[in-house]
Amino acid sequence: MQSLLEILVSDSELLWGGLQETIYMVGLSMAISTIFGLLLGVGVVVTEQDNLLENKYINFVLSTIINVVRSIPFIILMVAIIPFTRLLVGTSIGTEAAIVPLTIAAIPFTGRIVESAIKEVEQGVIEAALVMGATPWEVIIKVLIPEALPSLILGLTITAITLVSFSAIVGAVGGGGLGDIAIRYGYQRFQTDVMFKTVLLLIIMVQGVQGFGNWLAAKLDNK
Amino acid sequence: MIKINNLQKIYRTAEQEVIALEKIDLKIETGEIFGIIGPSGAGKSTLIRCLNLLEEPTSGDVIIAGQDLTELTSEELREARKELGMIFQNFNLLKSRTVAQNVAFPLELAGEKKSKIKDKVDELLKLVGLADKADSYPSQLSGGQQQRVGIARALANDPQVLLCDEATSSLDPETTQSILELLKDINQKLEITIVLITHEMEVIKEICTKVAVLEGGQIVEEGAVIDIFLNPQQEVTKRFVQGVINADLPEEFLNPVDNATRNDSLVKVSYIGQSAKQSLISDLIHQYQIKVNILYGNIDKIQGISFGTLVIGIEGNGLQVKEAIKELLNLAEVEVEVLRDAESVRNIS
Repeated sequence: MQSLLEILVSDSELLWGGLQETIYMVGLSMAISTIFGLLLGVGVVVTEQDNLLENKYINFVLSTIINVVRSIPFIILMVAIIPFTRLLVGTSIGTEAAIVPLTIAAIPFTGRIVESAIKEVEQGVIEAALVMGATPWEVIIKVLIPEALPSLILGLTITAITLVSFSAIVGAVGGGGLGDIAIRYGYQRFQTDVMFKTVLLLIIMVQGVQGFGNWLAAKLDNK
Repeated sequence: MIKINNLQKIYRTAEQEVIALEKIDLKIETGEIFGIIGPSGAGKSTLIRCLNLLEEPTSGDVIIAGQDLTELTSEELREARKELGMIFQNFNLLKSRTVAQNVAFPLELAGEKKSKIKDKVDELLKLVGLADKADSYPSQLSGGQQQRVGIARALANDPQVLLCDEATSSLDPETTQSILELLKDINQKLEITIVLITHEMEVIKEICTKVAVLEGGQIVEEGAVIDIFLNPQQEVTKRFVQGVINADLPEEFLNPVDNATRNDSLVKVSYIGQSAKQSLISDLIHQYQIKVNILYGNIDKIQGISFGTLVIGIEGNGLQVKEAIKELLNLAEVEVEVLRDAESVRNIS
């Protein structure tokens, strides 16, 4: 008869490896998608009618990208872009390969979040900067992004949590990470304790990300 | 300093055209505090936003310090805007920046050196009386204090003109007073030209030297503030003046029910400056053997000049009353308006 403690610490090496893979996948796809999502989101806002860099063609292209990618369920997107993934990283299996669909899915998601955060910035503040002689680029860098930062951080927290759950899905098709362990050990080998522990780890991870995001947003918010 | 020629602003939508401003001609001299007043929807905001091209005029010229803004490239316009500070009804401060960083913002945009920015910010915060709030965030300040930050920020690039877009409209009367004092102060200290729009005649009375009345997108009346107060021509102007100097008599005074009180003529007399010291009324009483009742009296100051309004009831022999009123009407230094003739006077004419 194993003690509860023994059950909890067993398979710790396996789970530790899975956790690291998950953090790696989420972290890297998060970093890349934040950069592109920021460009996409800001781009969509400033090219709108009557905005800083009004351009209806660019606006149409950007919002179409967001809408198209956002409307494909992740599990389908993941397999649909396998040729592209192979082209990029040489394989469609493993942690590196998983980062490609995760990033592709997260960019438009982040884009939308950035878009709504940027739109919260009052028009009057933008006008104030313009009458002081700011260029559109200065307005974006010095006004829009700093003013929207607290909402941006909260929004990016949502992206991070979504990525944790997406990373578990890629795990199911050989992407590695906690999802992979949950499916192979917990489900296919009926190791209920492993299943339980992966779920516990995922909950802790999500709580941690949310807590950090809330803390950072509150710290930056001077409203 | 500022010249506007035949300015027009038309908003076009698919179905209709809305004329916001029409045939606007204005000349504002250096050092003036020029007020533009009008009811809401008159086009005040559009007009002041046309002065720095936040709103692009449909046609017409906006000439500031000899430069026609409508002909500039966007690069030149950004440069020209540094000569035009602006403050807003909602202050429009950056919430993510401290007071000092907000004031530093236009200097950063102008590419000034850090040490120069610091000195200038200190100087400006002292000017607006917020030296101790440098490291506070706008959300920690009251409305009046936020507007002071807005003023300091607008003055950072040493502009020649300060545009005030309903700058006191969201402040309480006491704070409004202190902001107006500050504006007057910087107008004198820095010799800066101020253009302000407002829907409050109180603001015009308090600090403006000249005023233009805007209604339906057109300037319907324009002149020195004292003249406008003394002798408003248009209905809309009269309403604004009455809002500050309310010489409206209760209805029962103007149209009394009983015959007894209908025996006097009601006359409104407005006077300025020295004429306030003349013994006008007692002269009248002696000369024409009439009785004078003072129904309303008020004395106010506009730009340091006394400005009085008096409503009197004149009773007596119809002919004498008529002569007395005629004499009043002939006086150059007072404005006289007959509100109602007495029964006896009406019988004569």
